[in-house]
Amino acid sequence: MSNLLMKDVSFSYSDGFALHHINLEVGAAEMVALLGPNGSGKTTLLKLAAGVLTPRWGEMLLGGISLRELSRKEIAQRIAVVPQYFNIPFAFSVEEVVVLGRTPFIRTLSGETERDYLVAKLALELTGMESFKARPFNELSGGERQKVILAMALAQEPRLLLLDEPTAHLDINHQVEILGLVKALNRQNKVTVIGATHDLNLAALYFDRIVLLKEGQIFADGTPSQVITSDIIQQVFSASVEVSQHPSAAVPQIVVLPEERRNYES
Amino acid sequence: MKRLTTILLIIVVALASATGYLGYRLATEPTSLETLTGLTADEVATMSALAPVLGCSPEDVPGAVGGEAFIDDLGRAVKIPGHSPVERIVSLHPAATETIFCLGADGKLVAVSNAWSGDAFAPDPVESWITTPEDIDNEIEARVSAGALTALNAFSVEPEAILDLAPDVVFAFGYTLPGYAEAIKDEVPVICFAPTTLEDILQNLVLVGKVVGKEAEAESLLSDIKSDIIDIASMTIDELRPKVFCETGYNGGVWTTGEDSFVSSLIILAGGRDLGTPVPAANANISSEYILDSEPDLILLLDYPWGADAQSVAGRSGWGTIPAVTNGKVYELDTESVDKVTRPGPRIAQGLEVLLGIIHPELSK
Amino acid sequence: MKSRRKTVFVLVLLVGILFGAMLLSTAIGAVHVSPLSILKMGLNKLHIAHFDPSWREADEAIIFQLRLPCVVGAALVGAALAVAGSLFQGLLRNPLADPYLIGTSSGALFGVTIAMIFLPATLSFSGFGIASIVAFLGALGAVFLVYTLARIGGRTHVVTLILAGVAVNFLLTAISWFLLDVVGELHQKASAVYGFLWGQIMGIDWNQIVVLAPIIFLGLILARLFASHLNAFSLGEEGAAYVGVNVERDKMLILALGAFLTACAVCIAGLIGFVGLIIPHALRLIFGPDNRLLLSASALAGASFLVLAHLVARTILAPEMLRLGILTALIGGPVFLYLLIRYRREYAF
Repeated sequence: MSNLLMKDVSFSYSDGFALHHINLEVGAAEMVALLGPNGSGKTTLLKLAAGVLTPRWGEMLLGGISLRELSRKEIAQRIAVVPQYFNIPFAFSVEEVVVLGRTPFIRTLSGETERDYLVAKLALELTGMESFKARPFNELSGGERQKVILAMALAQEPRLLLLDEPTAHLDINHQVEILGLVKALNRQNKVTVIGATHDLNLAALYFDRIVLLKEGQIFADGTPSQVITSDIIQQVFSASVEVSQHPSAAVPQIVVLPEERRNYES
Repeated sequence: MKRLTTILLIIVVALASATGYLGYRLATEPTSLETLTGLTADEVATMSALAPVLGCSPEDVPGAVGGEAFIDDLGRAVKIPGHSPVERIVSLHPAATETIFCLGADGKLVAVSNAWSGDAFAPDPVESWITTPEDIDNEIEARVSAGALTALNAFSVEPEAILDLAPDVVFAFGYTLPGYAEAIKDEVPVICFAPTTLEDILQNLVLVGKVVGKEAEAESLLSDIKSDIIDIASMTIDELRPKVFCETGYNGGVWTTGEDSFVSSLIILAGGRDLGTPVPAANANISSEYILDSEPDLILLLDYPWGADAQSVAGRSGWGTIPAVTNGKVYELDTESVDKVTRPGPRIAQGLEVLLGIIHPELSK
Repeated sequence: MKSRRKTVFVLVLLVGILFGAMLLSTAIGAVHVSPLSILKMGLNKLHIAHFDPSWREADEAIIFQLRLPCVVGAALVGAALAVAGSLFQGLLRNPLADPYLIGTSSGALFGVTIAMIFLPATLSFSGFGIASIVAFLGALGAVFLVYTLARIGGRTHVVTLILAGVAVNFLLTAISWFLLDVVGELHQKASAVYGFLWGQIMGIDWNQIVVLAPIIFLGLILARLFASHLNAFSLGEEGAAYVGVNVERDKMLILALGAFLTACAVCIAGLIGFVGLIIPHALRLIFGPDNRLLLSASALAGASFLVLAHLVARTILAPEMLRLGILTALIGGPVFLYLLIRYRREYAF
């Protein structure tokens, strides 16, 4: 049974941009990358998957249940989102931020339980941020903050983890660290992952499957080897690249061809 | 944790200091008036109230038309040029209007106020002159209909309208100079009245008399009023004094007249003990606790019917313990009586009679 | 759990401070009544003891009919304003928000002005003067107006809310001042309107307390239930949605609750500023931003603060009374300045 199923989903913002006829099936414990140029609809698709936006047409099913029938709280108990950053205007500590991930499980009248704190602790350990737990979130570096945000998402004990370009602004070491963490979670804890990213190479390296968007539609959907070809990249990104094999992993990596050697074919 | 302790320490110290200070303030009672002579405190109070009245004479009021400047209640020196007496008067101070009528100079009036200008303890502005004695009322009404007299609203009058009437002098009222007066004071002499004490009222009578050229009449009026006051005071000076409280407004706390006000003096002269006295001002807003504590025997409602009536006063939370309430001695004064008591004009002695009738009914005729 | 111990400690401490403040405030006033007598009176009233009264009937009336209801009223108003301030600061993600930001103050002022023009002053309803009731309705009405103005296509954005609040405040305040200037009857009542503007807790009787206390308590408890969602709001509206908060619904409920608490406070005490801003702000700096502690602490600290301020306001110029709103502004201004200077770095995020 698939984890997430998007059947013929269409959506448009009031200014006209739209996603058309999205048909996407993501199985349990799959690790899927969403690629595409700016404005192709990656973030929109993620927001639809998170239930924050509602599609105009089409159906979205999570574990066989339509998202429309689930409350915000119920969705949050199954799906967690890791955005690029949070701007938190108050001096919450790292631990307090991670505990926020337990919000969908906290009963109004009883407050946090021992288990909630335990889950938060585990999430911190998984992301290696346990020693930071008393520090104010706002005093951490970008990479450290991203790990805390990831921990918060993990505290939700999600079946599906959605990542919205979580490493775009980070140094390469942090990028590697975060993606490595996510991959380990996927492999060991069987968390389904859908991650939007700009970085074609990292996507190929860490994700099993790539869904490529162009102008609001799925242009290609397959393994990295299938999707990352110079031809497809040219069609979607209008960029000339050469595709070569990664020295140790069996995945393609792109090498950018500098401008002087570009062919002016559209 | 250390920061927390510091904050707590500061709070505790602040609380302790506040308590200490308040305790100190409460422990030191305000010094009461000690009598050096063999007189009782009440007799001294009557003397103090009476002395300025006795001592008031026309010589104390400086000024002459075409000569020395007059000094108004705001301390302004106002010169009235030209020949005595003035011919055209605009009076936006109802007490002065009444005085002018009493002195027989009403032919010189060109405009009067059609609303009471908001004396500290007078009722809301009323859109007519009905609060003067009825005969004066009718006279004014007749003249206004005939077009011989103009009615102006002291709150909203346009300065040009006043100048248009070409007055020789303008009588105004206010503890600060009213807007229209500021505007016209360089064109026309403006004398601003703001009487607070009994002495002020009597001196103002003389001043009006001098301005309108009825000095002799004013002197005679003054001596009549003085003798009326002295008569009543001598009747009451040795009588047992009930404690009297004057209410001029209620907002959870109570507005009352203070020891500097003429109402306070009138109460003392009428044989009562005024409870507004600890407040060193002409009128003030004080806590209801004080009223309950002083246990007044009589309560006068000076803002009736605009303010509370006797029934609602009796119904106030906690006021049921006041002797005045339990004995049914909460008095609503009718409009005319309130006027006599609170209008700082020529009927002030009649106001004293009204108070006598309430405080010592056995003494009044 | 370390944080649980801290929570209990802080709350017990604040309850103690509130208790002490209320005792102090009952014992001290314009008229001196000996604390021993007060204690005996209290025990008599509770039927725990039966002392022969060594005090006058007037003294008992002063304490139980005049002073005590005002002390209780001050505590309720302080708690309501402080919690309303916490709610708005958390919801609008702005530590400088106060309960009057979205129109409650100008709405109440407008209500009072209208009531004074058109309605007879003697009308009252279960102990509340007509001006109080209309002030309450005016405050809620203004918030409703602000919310409706800010709502675009089913969502109310925080920035739009604040802007609409500013606009409505300007508008209603201007209309009120205009009416005060132009309508003749109001000139004499101007002092009553000023009294409202600067806030006062006077002449409150038990009838009013009996009505207000349960509804304010209810409001405080409901507010506390929103604590974890309010924490989630600090992630931003999208972030809060990601962790399962029904953002639009919660926003509406929290706004309504905050407006309701503010309206309750305003209707008996007029506009008392700074409490709703300073108390939660200062407590957050001392105890941290966790709303689970902050909301309860704000209620207790707000109550204590206003009870003590009320005590000072009515004794410092005895037997006259200093307006409570003026006093809170005089205290609040410098405290705010101090906080700004001391914690400058934390504001620079």
